Amino acid sequence: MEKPFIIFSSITYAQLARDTLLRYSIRSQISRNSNPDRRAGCNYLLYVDTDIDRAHEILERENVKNMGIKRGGMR
Amino acid sequence: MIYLDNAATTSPKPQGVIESVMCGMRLSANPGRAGHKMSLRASEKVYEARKKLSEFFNLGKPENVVFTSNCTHSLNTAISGLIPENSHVICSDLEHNSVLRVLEKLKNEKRITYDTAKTFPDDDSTLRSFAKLINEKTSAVVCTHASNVFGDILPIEKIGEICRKRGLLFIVDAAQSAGVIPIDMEKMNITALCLPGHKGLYGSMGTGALLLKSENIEPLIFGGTGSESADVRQPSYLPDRLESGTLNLPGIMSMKAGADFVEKFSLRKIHEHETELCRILYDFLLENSHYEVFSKPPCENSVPIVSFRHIDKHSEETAEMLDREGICTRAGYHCAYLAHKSRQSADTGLVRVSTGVFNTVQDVKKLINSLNKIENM
Repeated sequence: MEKPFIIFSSITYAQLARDTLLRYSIRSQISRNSNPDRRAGCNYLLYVDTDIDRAHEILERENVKNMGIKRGGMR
Repeated sequence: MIYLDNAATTSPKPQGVIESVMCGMRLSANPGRAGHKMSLRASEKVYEARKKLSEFFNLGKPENVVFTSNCTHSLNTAISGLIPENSHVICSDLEHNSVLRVLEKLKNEKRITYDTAKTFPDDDSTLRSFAKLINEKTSAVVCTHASNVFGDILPIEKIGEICRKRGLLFIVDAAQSAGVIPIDMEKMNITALCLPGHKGLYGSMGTGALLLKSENIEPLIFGGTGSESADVRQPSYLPDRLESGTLNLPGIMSMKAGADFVEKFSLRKIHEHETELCRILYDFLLENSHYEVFSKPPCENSVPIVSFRHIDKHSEETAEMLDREGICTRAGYHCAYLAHKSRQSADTGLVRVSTGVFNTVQDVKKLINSLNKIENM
């Protein structure tokens, strides 16, 4: 099943995002990006259990640096 | 042996700290680099430590906790990376060489100028001394929180208030204060807090941290961060910007375990205990005409250090005699010659006794017996 995710350039921000979302009762899981954009280099992903747009909006509001949502990723 | 050199590094380490190092050694995967389970678990340990230090010092941003190899590394990074070129800096006359040598290097390269503020027993005079050195080119105050020679605590919160009003960066050397007395980065308006992991935080040696409010900082070293790999430029964000190369996972875990230990036992209670031990020594030295004490009376406004000398001996000679008695102290100039010059102890240096949480009244009594024994030798 396809599942969207949020991309982070550094694991620290993926962890910060996970903790931030948990404050809003949103659970998420960190994973390494196994299919990264060549120009972006290595990065980490966050899979969110609920509405990813809402999760992303929260992260933007809380100033948690991220590289945006990628839709169509495989879980 | 009786260990009374806790200002150099605390010893022994708490059991939880030793176990955390063992755990880090067993885990032994590179954090923030790969996607396998061991690497992710290691990354979690690092992040737990960032959160711990961010909370402990009220930074409020775990991502702005940068791990370094020691307090000197943190100070070099903060001073070299934050202070703008062609500006003026103020430090105190109690600074360690880890501050002074960096400032001197930048001065010799004509990148900055700096002045030294005299410190006084009363805070108001010290504050006036800092304030009157501020000029239109002043960009930063770099200042020790507590003297590693005498144990004096500087009025950091009030100096921070001056910095806030004048728009200055405030870089604090917390080598002797982190984990010993409360530090609140927000309340004290600290831009950069530089600290060792192995002193008051009871972590392992070779650990330190730099806690930053400002992200506008130039790195000291460049290289692999596990992020932005396709870009030859250093990442622009913390902590990656300042954390090139593999992190010291066992050491970082030990800092977290040390901070947990201090919190569990209560920073205030540890400080009271260490201060009480210093007080016993201080009272003895004050009454003994063979010794001259240079520290202020140990109190809540000092860190647990008592520095003194025998009136007829070089400090190194006294420390050597104490070592033969099975007592570890630190003599000489403590990498802070300016502080010794400022307080007229530069001719002989001083014997520094610094207590830790595991010292006892018996330890200090043994020291006093030894000082009585060697006073006429």
